[in-house]
Amino acid sequence: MNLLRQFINLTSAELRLFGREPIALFFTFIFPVFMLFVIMEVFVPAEAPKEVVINQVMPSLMVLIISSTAIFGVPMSIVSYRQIKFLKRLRGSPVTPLAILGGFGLANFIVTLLGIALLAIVAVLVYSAVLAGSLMAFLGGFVLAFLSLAAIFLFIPGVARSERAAIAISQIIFFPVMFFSGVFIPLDQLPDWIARYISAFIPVTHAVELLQGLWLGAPLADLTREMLILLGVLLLGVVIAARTFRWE
Amino acid sequence: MKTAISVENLAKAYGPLRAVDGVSFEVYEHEIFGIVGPNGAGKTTTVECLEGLRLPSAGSIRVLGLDPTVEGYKLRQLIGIQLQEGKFPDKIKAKEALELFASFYPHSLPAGLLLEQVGLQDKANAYYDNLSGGQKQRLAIALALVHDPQLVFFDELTTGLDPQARRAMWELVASIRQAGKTVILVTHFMEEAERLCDRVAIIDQGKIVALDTPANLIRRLEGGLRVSFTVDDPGIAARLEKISGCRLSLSNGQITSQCTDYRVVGEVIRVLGENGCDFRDFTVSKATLDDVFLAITGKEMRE
Repeated sequence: MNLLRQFINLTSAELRLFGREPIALFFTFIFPVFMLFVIMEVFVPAEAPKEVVINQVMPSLMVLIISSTAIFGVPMSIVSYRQIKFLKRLRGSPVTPLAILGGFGLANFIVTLLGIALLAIVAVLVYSAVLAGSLMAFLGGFVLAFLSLAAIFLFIPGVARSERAAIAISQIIFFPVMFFSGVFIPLDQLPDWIARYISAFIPVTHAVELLQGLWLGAPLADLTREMLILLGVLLLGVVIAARTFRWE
Repeated sequence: MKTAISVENLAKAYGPLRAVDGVSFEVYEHEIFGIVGPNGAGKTTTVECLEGLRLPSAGSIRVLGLDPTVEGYKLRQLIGIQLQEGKFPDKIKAKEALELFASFYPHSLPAGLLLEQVGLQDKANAYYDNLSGGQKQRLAIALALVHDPQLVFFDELTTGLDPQARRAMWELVASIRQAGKTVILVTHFMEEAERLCDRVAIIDQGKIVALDTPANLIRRLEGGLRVSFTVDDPGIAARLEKISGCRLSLSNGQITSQCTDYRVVGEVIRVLGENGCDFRDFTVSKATLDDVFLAITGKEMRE
């Protein structure tokens, strides 16, 4: 009971703090919607049917939101909380590590979920996007993609000794990953060798494939490979994080 | 006097570095116990072992009857902690921080009461990064007291504060002890220890080099009284040097003599008078813990 109360309070405190960070709000809510308009209005050829293309573009931009939480949001907060000794101070109270990490993780999950919900609403209202698959399966895929990407990029706070270092590492990773994983540019428009030898090895690519497939209603059997890869990435991320995570 | 903390042969090594090297002491209930020494002496490592935040390499510790290495979770319900250079997220409000930490304990004090106690009642809705250095430390104290603990640890509470804020902080710490709590105060600021602490342990290079009340430490010091004055003719120094129990130092016509007791001070004045020596700016001052530290370790404490 006490654990649950701690967990809920840590979650709501983290959510409140997120709401006071204009940059985080921008990247979670404004930037993806802006990118949606840019891609749909500028990059999609005029003769292409927008109501078809939107169903590929929107799921990939959802992965943009997940990635900005996983690559920027979570690692940056952890490094900052470590640097100011907030994590250590929490450890000096009778709070279990499970409540601290769980509350922090749930807050970031909720924020990301709100971000993709806003994007979906805009896509449905403005471009008539339609979910062809099952909503439950799509949400399940979203949870898997979130956990998997959030976990694998936990190596950043593991290796970054300071906030500056974390920002540098996140930026170096973020933009190439967005370009080569099908988020900004569809995979079939990338040179074949990039798609085959680079994109395939980026976990984000498989999150894009999974969410696009589930949105477009592909049979689950066709997506088994993506799901297994993301599960593997999740396990790898947890193992690396458990080995490199530091409270101070 | 009941014992709140007992430490025996505590050691903590980081590779070849012995940060804490065989430290033993006891802290009694309701006292302000000071752990003083220069930066890097091992003060913080010692208290963090007591708080259960670090695992000692050797030795045994009992804090409020518990072993911090195995009963850390239980211990943390009983103690209050303020960390050296510990901060909180910029955008958390004072009241929110108190309510968050209050939710970690089965019983806690209302945020309003705590804010009033530390003089932050007007800052309940202020963001952490808008508080001044002194106000941040006041909030850290309030957060350490949120569950009304019997024992609180303050680590470099006043470092970086201006003299006025520092003095106000001293009053606050004294009032916390007045309320019946036991306080462990870590500081590298000797005047603070002298003002506040009932007993102090002086730590240097991981070892306790002295442990007593500040008054006893100073009294035991050879040359616990310092006499200084200015003369035109430094030749008088030769005669003053013959007084037993008096150590002289001379610079630019200013003579400083360290005297073991007031009788020796009288002797100094007598010799000056008998020789018809003109002297000015005559002052007598008691030694401080800084002098004690210098005498024991041969090093100056530095800020």
